[in-house]
Amino acid sequence: MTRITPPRISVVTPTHNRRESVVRLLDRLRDGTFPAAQFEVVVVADGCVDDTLAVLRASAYPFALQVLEQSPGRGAATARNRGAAAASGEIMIFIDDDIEPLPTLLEAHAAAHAAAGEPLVVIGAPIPVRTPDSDLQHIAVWGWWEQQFEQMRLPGHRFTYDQVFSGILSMPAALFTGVGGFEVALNSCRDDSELGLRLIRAGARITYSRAAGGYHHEMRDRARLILRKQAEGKADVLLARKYPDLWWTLRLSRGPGRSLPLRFLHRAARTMPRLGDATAALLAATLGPLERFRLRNTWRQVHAGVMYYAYWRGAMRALADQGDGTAALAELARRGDDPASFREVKILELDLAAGLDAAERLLDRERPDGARVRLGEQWIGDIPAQLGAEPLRGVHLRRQLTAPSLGWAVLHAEGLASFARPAVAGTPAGDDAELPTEGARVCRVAGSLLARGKSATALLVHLADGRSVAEHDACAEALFEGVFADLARDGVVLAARWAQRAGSLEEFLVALERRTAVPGIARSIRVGFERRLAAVPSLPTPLRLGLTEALAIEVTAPLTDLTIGEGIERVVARITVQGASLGMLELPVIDGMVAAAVMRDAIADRFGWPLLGWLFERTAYREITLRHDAGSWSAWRGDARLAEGLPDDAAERWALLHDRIGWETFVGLLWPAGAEAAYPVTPSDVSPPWISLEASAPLGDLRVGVPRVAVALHVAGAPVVAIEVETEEGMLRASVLRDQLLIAGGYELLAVAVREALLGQPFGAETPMESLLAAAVQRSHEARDTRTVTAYPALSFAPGWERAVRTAIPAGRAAVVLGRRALPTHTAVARAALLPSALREEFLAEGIPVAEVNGSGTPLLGYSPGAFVRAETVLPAGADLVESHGATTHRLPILMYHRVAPEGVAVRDRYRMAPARFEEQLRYLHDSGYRSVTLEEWRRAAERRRPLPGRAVLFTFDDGYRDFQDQAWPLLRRYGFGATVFLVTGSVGRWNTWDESRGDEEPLLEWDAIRLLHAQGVEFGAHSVSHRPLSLLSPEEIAAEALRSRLTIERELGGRVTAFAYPYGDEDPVIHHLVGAAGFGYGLTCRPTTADGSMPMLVLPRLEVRGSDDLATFAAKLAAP
Amino acid sequence: MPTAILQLEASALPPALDIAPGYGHALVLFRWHGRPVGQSRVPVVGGTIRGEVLRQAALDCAGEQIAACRIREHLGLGDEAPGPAAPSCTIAVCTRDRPEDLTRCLEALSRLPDDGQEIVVIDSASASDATRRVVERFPRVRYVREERPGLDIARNRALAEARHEVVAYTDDDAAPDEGWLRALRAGFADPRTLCVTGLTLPIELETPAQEWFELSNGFGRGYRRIVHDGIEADPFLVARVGAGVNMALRRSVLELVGGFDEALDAGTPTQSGGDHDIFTRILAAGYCIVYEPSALNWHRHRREWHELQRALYGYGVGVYAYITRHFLNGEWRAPLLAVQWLRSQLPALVGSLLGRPGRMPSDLAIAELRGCLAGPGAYLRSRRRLRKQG
Repeated sequence: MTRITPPRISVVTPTHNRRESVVRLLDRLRDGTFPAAQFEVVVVADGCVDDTLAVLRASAYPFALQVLEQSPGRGAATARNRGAAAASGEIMIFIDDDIEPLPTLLEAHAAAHAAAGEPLVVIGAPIPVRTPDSDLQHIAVWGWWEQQFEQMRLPGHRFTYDQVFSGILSMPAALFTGVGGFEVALNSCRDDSELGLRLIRAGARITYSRAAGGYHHEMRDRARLILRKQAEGKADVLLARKYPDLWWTLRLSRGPGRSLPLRFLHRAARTMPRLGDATAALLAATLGPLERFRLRNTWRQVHAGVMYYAYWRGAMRALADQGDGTAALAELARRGDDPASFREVKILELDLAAGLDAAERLLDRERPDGARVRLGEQWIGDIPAQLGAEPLRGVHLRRQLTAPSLGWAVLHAEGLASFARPAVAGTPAGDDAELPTEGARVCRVAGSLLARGKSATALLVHLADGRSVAEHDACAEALFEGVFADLARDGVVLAARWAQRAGSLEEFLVALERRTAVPGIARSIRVGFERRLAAVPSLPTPLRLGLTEALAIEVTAPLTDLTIGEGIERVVARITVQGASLGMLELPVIDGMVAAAVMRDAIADRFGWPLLGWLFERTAYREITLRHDAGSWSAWRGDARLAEGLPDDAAERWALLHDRIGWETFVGLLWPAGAEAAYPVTPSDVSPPWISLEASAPLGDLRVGVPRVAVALHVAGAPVVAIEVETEEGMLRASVLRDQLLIAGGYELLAVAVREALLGQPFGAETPMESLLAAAVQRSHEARDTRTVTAYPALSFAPGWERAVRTAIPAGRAAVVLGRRALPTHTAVARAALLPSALREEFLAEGIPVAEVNGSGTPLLGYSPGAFVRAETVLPAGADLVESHGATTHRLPILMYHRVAPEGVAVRDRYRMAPARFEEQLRYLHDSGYRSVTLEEWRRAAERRRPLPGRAVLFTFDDGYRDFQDQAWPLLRRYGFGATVFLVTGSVGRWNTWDESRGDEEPLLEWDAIRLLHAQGVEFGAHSVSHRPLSLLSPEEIAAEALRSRLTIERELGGRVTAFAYPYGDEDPVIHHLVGAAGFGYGLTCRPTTADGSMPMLVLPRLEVRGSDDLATFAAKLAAP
Repeated sequence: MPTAILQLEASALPPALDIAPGYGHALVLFRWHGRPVGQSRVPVVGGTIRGEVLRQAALDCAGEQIAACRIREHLGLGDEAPGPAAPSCTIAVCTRDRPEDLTRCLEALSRLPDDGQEIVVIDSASASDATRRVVERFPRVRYVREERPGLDIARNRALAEARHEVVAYTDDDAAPDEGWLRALRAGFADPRTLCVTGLTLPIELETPAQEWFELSNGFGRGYRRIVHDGIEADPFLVARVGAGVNMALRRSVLELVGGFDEALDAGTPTQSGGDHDIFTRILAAGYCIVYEPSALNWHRHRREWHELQRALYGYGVGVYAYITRHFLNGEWRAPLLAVQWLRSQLPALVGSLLGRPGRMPSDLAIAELRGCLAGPGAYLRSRRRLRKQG
């Protein structure tokens, strides 16, 4: 047959001893809809020993037919390559000899290529033929194929290399030759997948068509199927060797999972093939009977096991050809995990703001492997790069966006979620206004998915590593917002949603922790979430929220010790006075309880001031009249103007008035003016002699008869403060003493008065403070607590300490109670606390001041700030003002440094200050008249609400790097500054190993150097034992971190350690409480501001000085509020 | 108190809704741009339902479906409307002596958009010619008389009579929604899908009998599309697949798994079970059944208590007749199924007998149990009778 133009299409068919099939194929092609003149057929007879060759050569078809012979058989891949070489068409269609083409097959292929305008690969469906007598195995195989087609037919399907089937496959001849044809080494199994991979990597577009397919007359023989599975195992080994980065797409990479039978088969294939073969044969033999009795489920499992074994048997045989198969498998796995073996992936920044059509065009142009999807500035999610899949094209986009994680994010970002967010008063308007970190954004979307009962774990792929969730609290906030976004902030509604979703929330957080590999992150986010939920008004209480118990505490109702259920770590309580909310209080649960004494003390500390205001508003302030004239409010008592310029809002007005006159009112009620006559008191016979005074009793001049006494002040029997004073020839003047006690007692006096007189008492709105105090004194006399208290070692506690110890411990319980030795006595920083009793022995071993209470049960470990040892010397009023000519410091800049060193790795430049630059800063401070102060100085000034004289600054150095001694300290000394260094006690003398992820390791100070520096005047504080973020830890662990780090430094240096810097600046109310209870008076955070006198000493802010800060930035930081 | 049935468009919920007096609750079907997305039972307070309550109910029951719709709308993917390749369809109504119900059904069918479908009424040996006269009033409807009584016989007749690739069945006591047929057709996109079932809701819940029916045997299967894939699914878990009141079959089912078992279902001693039987055979052969909630059909449940009792008795008979049939066909798991089914019903049964609150009244439970016991015998009798006829 002669022709003028070569046919457009060449059909290439390899065949092996299947004459009837190949004739049927040719007949159908002849009968199809495509003109015979436009295609040729090349049949490659591969080692045929039947009469295929003779029959074909004798036949006459209207299309051109070449018959090539290949002998002996060398496999279909070789045959196809050979046929393609002999073919002359522009389009190459490979059709297997067991295919019965649909009439439309050739036409569909031709049309697809003509319309494409670019190199195209068309996969025609090899549709398995079903008959009513198909057995379960045939149904399974048929179903597998149809499931593949069902996926592939969907618009926007992203093809993977292993969906390229050579049964019916067409592409331009140039493309086929360009990629190098079929890989003959694979010996006709998965050679199509391998070709598919090269086609995808060459940039070809893959399509699928059922009309371009045909019926596939498959083998139904089980033995053949098993052989096929073995060949697949072998082929996968070859693929993994050739393309290490495909490892995770291969079944080889998947272990047997938890199924015991599969584990056995897996192991048998690896190490005991003879046992395995026998077992597999036995299993295969049961398939027939199982099918006969229609025990379908069992059949499926057994069949899957047989095929599983065959696959692994084939794979292990291929692996073992180079020695130890198991080792070879491990090597493949290793290479599959080695980033060096990966191709570079192209990730595109895809902004949907310009519309979906534009985004699709961009994808068509760029064809990236994956995309980061944004909407303007807002990150929405990722379309991941998929191993062995087509690059992304425009047609894939919308399908990818229907994935719930992305789809929801798109809705939110586009503001389309408005239906799911009814406009309810109190709900913040905008969607995700400002979410600082990737972790928070993921949590926000995850929250809205969890709210709808969907799993959100799929979202976690968007988290790069632990750093993306560094802001735990922002994550907690975002998650909280997400979960409750659509609900009004009503406690009942929110609690119901919580109860419904707590399980999936927990699952998500556990998965998040696993993904980010940050131990404890789940707990931290969970606690932040629960804290927010517990603070929602009208939440039904008490309510258990995971690790948190939400409570409501009414201060006029009796306060009792709370026993808290197992597994709850903290209580978050709304504090109310006769129903009006004062605020939230958070306390740790220790040894299964929250002691009443701890609650009372914490409430008095936190809410004493507003509570007193609430009481005064109804008693002492009643005679105050408010006048409104000249556009402003003023307060009057009789004709005396107490305050002016008060705001319009009534509640604000009272609050402000209370701030202005509350202290004087309180003192006036406590110690009414008008001194009484002098009266003698008998001091106790210790040195200096103690005398004790009751604050609510009238104070007159005292005749004590010695030159120097220690005066302890009590409110209703509870010790507040002790001071050491010089007498004037044996006399103490009431007016002087009163001033000194007020200065020394400060706010603590008020806190103790509120605690003893108000809390837990059913005081009415009318009861004046005087009678409440009198009642409290009465109660203290009547109190019957028969527990004996002994001090250990023999110590001189201030009078009244036994009572302070007893009341700190739940009724009847035995305890070891810590008192104060080192700490200043009258700060408001260390509150009553319980510590985990497991730490008891450690305390006792250190020999610090303790008292023992005998009672029942396992001894508790308590801390009572009311049991103190030392009296303070109070400076005469105004003494500290002597120097205060010129500038004063109302707000103290506390500077935070890490290293001072000339060189280091770039990733840690933020934490390394160049010595020259550091000196520049010191010179600037020196020249501007700054002096450095200690925390103690700051506390004294702050408590007196006095500014510090001169310009004050405080230097702190975190972690204790060795270069502090070589670089920072000499410079500091040269300019006359002091410093506080915070040590990580578990790493002293070693390296900063907690920062591994940040790149390098730097040496830390050793104890000898620390002792030397200490002797030279450097102060040392604790920075925990292990430098872990404390919010990731349980209360027990937090207490242990704080306590052990303190004890270690005190042991090594012999001095007192009062300051604690929170690692990573990670802190919350429970952490403050526990650090205070562990004996610290100062807590240093990373809140970036200057300190003012009203800030609690356990929450002092610090300004971080970064390595990159030049002098202008540095000066600006000092000046900022 | 009876329950009102309402349909609301979730994209335009009213600020408040007045309900006719006498209703304590309302069963609200929420749609999103016409598509059913969720249902909720909402209390009626003082003759009205507040808008906020409706809104919250819509969010709770349909928020996710609505979001899914919105994502598709936003992406311009539209609804899964039947493409040009969707099969053409014959609607078959099998009826026996229920001219009033049939009228409502045919009126509803006349309102469907015309996609070239054919409507056939199979008159299953009705006693009077009222059925024929009803059909005569609808010129587009073809009347076919089947003399042998039995629902499955009528269903097979419909398969034989149909001129199109797919036969959609509805019962005479149901009234399909306008989008019903299109949704069923769209479900056949994959060639392995032999059957599509839909969502069925009550037309009215006026009597205790109707309430109990909806509670115990309601046809609703949720608002999410479910593909029951015979390659993986257990073919005997068919209760969740759907029911004969709302299903469509490819006619090729006849060659691939065989037609309906004529010994089963209404008009024979077995009373029901024909639909479950064909579902099982489809799944066992590895084919798929798609549950498509957009294919909405409204069903009038039996009003009277004794009718309900009879219906539940009938279900009991049907389930066990169906199990018997498969046991006789060589399914060794069948006796196990019978035990499992009974065990799954046991707690409810005990609850009923003890009169626990919220449980089915004991007479209904007993009726169903009696049906179960009668099932195997009924199937054998029915098959014998069939042989005699044939």
